[in-house]
Amino acid sequence: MRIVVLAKEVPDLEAQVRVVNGGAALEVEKRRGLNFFDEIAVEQAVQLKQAQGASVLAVSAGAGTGVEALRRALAMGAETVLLVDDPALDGADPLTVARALAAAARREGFDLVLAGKQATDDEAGLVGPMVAELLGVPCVTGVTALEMEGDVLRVSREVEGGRETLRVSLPAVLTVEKGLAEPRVPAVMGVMKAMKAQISRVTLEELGAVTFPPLVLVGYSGAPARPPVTMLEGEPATVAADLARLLREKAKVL
Amino acid sequence: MSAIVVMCEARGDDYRPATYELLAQARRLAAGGGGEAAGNEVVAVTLGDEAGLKSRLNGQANRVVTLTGDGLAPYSADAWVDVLAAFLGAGTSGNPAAGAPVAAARLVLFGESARTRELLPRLAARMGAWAVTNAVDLTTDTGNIAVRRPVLGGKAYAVHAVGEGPVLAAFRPHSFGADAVGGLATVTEEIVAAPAAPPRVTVLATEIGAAMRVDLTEANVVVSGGRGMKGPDNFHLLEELADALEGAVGYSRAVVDAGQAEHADQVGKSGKTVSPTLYVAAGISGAIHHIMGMDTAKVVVAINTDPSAPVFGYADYGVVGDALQVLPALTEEIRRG
Amino acid sequence: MDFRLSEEQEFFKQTVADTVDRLIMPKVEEIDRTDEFPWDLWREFTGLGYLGMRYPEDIGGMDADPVTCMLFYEELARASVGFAQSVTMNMLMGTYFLFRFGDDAIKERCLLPALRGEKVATICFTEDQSGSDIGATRTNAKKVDGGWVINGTKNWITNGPLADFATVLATTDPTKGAKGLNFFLVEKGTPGFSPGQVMHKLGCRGTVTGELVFEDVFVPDQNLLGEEVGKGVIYLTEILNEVRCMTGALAIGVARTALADAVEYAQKRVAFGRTIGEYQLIREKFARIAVEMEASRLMVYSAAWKIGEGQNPRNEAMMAKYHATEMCLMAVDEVTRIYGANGFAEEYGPQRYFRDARFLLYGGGTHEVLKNFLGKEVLAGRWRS
Repeated sequence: MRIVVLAKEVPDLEAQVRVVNGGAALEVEKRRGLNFFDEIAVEQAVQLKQAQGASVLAVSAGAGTGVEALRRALAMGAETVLLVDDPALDGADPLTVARALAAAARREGFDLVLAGKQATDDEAGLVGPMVAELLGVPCVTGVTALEMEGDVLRVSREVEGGRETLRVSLPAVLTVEKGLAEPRVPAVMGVMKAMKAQISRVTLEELGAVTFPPLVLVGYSGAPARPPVTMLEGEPATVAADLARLLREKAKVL
Repeated sequence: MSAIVVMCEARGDDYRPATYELLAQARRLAAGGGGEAAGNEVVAVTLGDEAGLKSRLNGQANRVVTLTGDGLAPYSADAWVDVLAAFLGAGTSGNPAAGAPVAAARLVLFGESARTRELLPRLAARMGAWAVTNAVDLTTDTGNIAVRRPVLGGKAYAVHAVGEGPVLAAFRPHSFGADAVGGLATVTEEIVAAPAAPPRVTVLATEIGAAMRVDLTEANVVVSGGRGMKGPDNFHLLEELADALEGAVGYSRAVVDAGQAEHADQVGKSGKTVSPTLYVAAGISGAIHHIMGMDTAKVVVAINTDPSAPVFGYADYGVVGDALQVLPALTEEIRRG
Repeated sequence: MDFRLSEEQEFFKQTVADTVDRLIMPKVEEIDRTDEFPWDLWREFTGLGYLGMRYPEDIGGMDADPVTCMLFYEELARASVGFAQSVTMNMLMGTYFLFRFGDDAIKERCLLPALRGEKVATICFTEDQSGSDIGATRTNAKKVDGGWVINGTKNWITNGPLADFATVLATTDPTKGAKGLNFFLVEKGTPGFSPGQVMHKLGCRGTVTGELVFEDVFVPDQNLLGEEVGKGVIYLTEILNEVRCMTGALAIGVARTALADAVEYAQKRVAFGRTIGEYQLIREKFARIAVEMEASRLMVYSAAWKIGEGQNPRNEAMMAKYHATEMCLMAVDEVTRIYGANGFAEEYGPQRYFRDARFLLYGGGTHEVLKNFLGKEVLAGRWRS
């Protein structure tokens, strides 16, 4: 079985962010790594490799980024990696990224594509299912449990208010949720392999992937600072009613 | 003329609140003077079994479109993508051409949900349309329709122009109020549609209420108790509020050290760091140690009998009162709401 | 001059940092509180295979250069310098002389298992009457038929009470002072060799430190680790530079954690209506810590680089150890002050960093001895800037 894992490189969760150029751009501290949910996908792929002897290829797409993510995938046990490295991927529309990754998967051959349910830098969750659509294969999102029998996958996922169990046949795309697998801490052998690896690169043109123009960015703004506290006093019933209303209508968290 | 389409989603015997919120915002934009959205048709779309609820949409949209037929009930992502792509005016099915314009729909609004996460990206890829998820606002401030969403965990926000579209956009719950007056003269259009192919994913089982316990560090809502809760006998008040808010319960270090709660549930520098949308600190004084574990929460509510408690310096809303009385009153309000 | 780490080194550092954060960080408070050796953590961490790092690949190592090793030590100390001390015993001091001089049987029996974390190693210098003055070593080895008989007591031995084997500094000729010293391998289970008192320490709790007692301990000839009798001190110099740089790297690690905690605290703690980070005297502390830490880093890593280039940066390594340790002590002190009274509370990290950091004063030479030596070097014209 050939598994392709989509591995996005994202800024570290603690990276400092500043809005610059009057809102035209963001300056992000240069600490990057493999997206948390994609790490779970890599782990699941490596477990399948160890259980049934599948091959695991990790693919990343970026403009000068992706090497850290792919080295992590190698350290965890992916055999091979591929980087779609193209300046056109800077600020690219998710559909462009999906086209690049789908083309790579098609070129390398796949039975199963695994990806994290979303990336921690934008929480968009778009590329995985887009890749499925472009490859013309079924997709199940947010998988929390997985069993395989031959070509048939039995997966579970959380939905609002409950859990679903579904059946889908290969080839397929699954996006994975926390709880599916616990990413291993790489042992030194894997780390050494990752350090020495030569990362193969390919461009959009070499893959035959066409770009899709991104939405026009109007601008960035910073996160709003916490306003001074609004104090409420009175009888518990009154205060509770006021608070509930404020939370619902002003803070919009209910 | 272009349309603002709202994808309706039902839960049980009504559409989800998000549906009404999105319709209200669509109406506001269409009515708002001068912006790009002014005069756009507001279209509500409901599919399969959910179309049976369509009368609830009366007044909420200019046009309510139902898409029904074999293969559309029960919900199946494959079937719904097929039918919606055709309705919204795709290029040839399964072969998204670059930039093929979609007939009338400029903007298609979804509420964030598990289903949206499945449908929206695939629809966008099928149609060759733009997709924006995790959005929190939709405005015509500058005259142009724009979508606003957080990036990098909310450390910054990005605003994108919708332009001619088509843009498929998913919004977080409560991005908008559902309070705009409906009152449109609604026309209903019923379409019988068949998916192009049988579904490739089969649902084997659905367990209601079997969702995994929300982890403290991932919960959207955290209700934490401290010494002001006066002991484990009262902790049920925390749990009841947390349940009503579908959140998790945490405890301060004082409570954990006193052996009244597990270290795994401790919020604070030497416990867990949480970043929920709503954090309720009940009977917690606000030692810096605790603050460091929760101050990235979006909205903080603090309840304490001491008006000079430091926790109020880190809260959005402060209640000077006895948590043992305020918590049940709040739970009651939430349940009633 | 290109002071950058290579891309591979950056990746390595990030991976180790992440590993330390996942495996060790969650346990550090418990280790300090219980003062028990964390066997589960030891097995889990050593099982990843990093212990052989500086040794060749053919014995399970990485052939890692000294700079890469320093990155490892620094990240380890960021979590727990106590645990780091135990780990580095297996990585360097406790295994080096076996690697260098041990026969195949010794390597098979002791070295390789130690690199896998299956055996605990240690090295013994210090005695009740001799620390810096190793020439005054009284533990002695008498030649007998087929081997040596060792007598004496060693103190302050990291991992001592747990050790499966020890590299013991013993004299074969007390009249020769330092020139009569040798390294011997003594294995657990050898009659007469036993752990003595455990020392309860101010900091670095959870790493077990104590006495080792040698009463007519017989070891075979192969256990003399060295080609000639009386060359112990010379062999020691082979790793002394590395040990000193390592201590410097550990110091930087501790200081980094203390600083990071203090930054967060100062950004949040409010006094007189402003966060304390807005006050000049608090900012001054951060500035001073940052400047000294940057200087320490450059010194430690540049000395490590020179070792990797085959040079013998004896003075630079001493300076790096001295500077980084003093920087660390200053940093942890200032951090407890930034925390105000909270710096005195067990609830917060700074008191632990404060207690742990002091242990760095002793390894690789006390500062009094180092400065005395360096002063002489400068005056003798053997060191110029």
